[in-house]
Amino acid sequence: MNKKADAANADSLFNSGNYFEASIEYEYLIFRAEQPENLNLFKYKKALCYKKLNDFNRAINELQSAYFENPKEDTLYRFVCYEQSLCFYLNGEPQKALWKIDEYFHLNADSSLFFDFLPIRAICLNETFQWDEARKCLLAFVQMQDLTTENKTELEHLIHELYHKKNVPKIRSVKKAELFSRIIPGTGQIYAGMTGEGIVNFLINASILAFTAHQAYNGFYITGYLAGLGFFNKTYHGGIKRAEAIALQKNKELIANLNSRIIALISTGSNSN
Amino acid sequence: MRSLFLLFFIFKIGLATGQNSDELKFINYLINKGDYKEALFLTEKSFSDFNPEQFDSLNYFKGWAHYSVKNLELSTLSLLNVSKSSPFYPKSRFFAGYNQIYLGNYAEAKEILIQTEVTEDPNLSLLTFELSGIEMLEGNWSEAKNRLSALNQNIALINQQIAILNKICEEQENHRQKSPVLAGIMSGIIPGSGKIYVGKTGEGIASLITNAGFGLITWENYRKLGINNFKTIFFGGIFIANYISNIYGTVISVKTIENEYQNKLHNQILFQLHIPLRNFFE
Repeated sequence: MNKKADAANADSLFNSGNYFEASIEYEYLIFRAEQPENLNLFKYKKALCYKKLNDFNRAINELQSAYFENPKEDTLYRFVCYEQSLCFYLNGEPQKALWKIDEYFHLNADSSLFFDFLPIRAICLNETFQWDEARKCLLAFVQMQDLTTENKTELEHLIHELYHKKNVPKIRSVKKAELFSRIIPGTGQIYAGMTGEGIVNFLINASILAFTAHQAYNGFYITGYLAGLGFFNKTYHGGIKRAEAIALQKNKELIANLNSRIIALISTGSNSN
Repeated sequence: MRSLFLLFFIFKIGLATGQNSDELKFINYLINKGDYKEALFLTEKSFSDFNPEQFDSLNYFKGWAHYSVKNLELSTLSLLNVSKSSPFYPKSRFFAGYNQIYLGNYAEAKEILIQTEVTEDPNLSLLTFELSGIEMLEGNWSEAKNRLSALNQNIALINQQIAILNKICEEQENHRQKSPVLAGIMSGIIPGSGKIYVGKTGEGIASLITNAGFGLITWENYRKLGINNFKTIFFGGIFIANYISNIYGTVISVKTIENEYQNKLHNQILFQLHIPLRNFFE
């Protein structure tokens, strides 16, 4: 720790990648409170340290503690809101990220300041399956970029293509997957995208049921009921839970795939800038 | 010239002391915020210009931060470096002792507490109280009871905990360990009854149902297909394996339950020893 509260030293630590030490230096500056006008700036920079350390919860807490008397006129407010929404997204809370971005949009009439927020907003909208809104958001982002008309048209075409009905991710309903498996074991897995597993699950359940029926038909009621149905009970309910888990996993994969394509698209747009 | 140099020297020392005390305040601030990792990072730095009083504070903060992140050995080492002249001395000694109790190093804990220089109440009673707790953890129940009865019951800080420790002593005296042989025999006669006897009612009922189920399946196949049929042998094998493993499980569970009981007792005592320390020193 530097014995004098020194913002330059904290910045230098940050720039050299010593984020943990930098966070302590910024905290020291907050503690000393020698520059109350810069308190929010130090909090913001401390949050950046936590973000770099992948500690998004602490970054969010730090950013939330920043208080702006007049947010409309404070340029730092924009950066704080941006980082807060980004950290919310990185922390797996897209709804909160959207809420933060909308709050910022609501407070600012100048839409030219929304530029940086639009990609995060689009990604978060994808996470919440709002394709149309996400598409509009990306189109607005392209319009705001300093590109040639030709490049803009090309990017817009790519966005429209990405969100075309046939390309948009087919989100699996968890409830449907569960219901299908409840009615015919294994069909939930097939619906969720794991055809092989669904068939195996169906065959296992069908075999056990066939065994139960065979036993009962031959007068082995106890064996059929206890060994057959007892075992079936396990495989049947296990299959239902598995179908739900697969549907959730598959949705995550689809969204991650779409978002990575969007990030690649944004990067392409920035490079051609 | 000489006096000017002296004046400059005094000014420098004053400045350094002021800065050091500011750093200590900052470390304390971090600890109060719960930023123990950051506080520990700062305490590891070189503080060669600290005076003894500041070193005491530094050791206390270091010990407390380690204690808060459950690095109890390191916490003890730092807390024991706090000198008698420090206002943090009693707290440091008691918590260093408690750290060793928690770690199961009862001899070290006793040594730390006995060597702690306290002469009057409530510290003195608190010391005896902690020592009685150690006796209980070591299984010296009569010695623990003697120490507890010698304590001043009028000290509000510990009177509730004294009552609870006395109750634990009584419970321990009345505690009878279940017999693994009896539990095994019971499970042999009626599957699951041994588990119910040792206190695992749910597990006992589940064992009874499973054994009865496999027994019935075996009986049905035996009755209809005879002893030499594959199905009878298959289900009979499962039944026997289940029956034997249930008896074995019952015998083992007696030991597990006794361990659980002893652990519960151990944690109760540790908890009761901790309460007055936190109430008194925080």
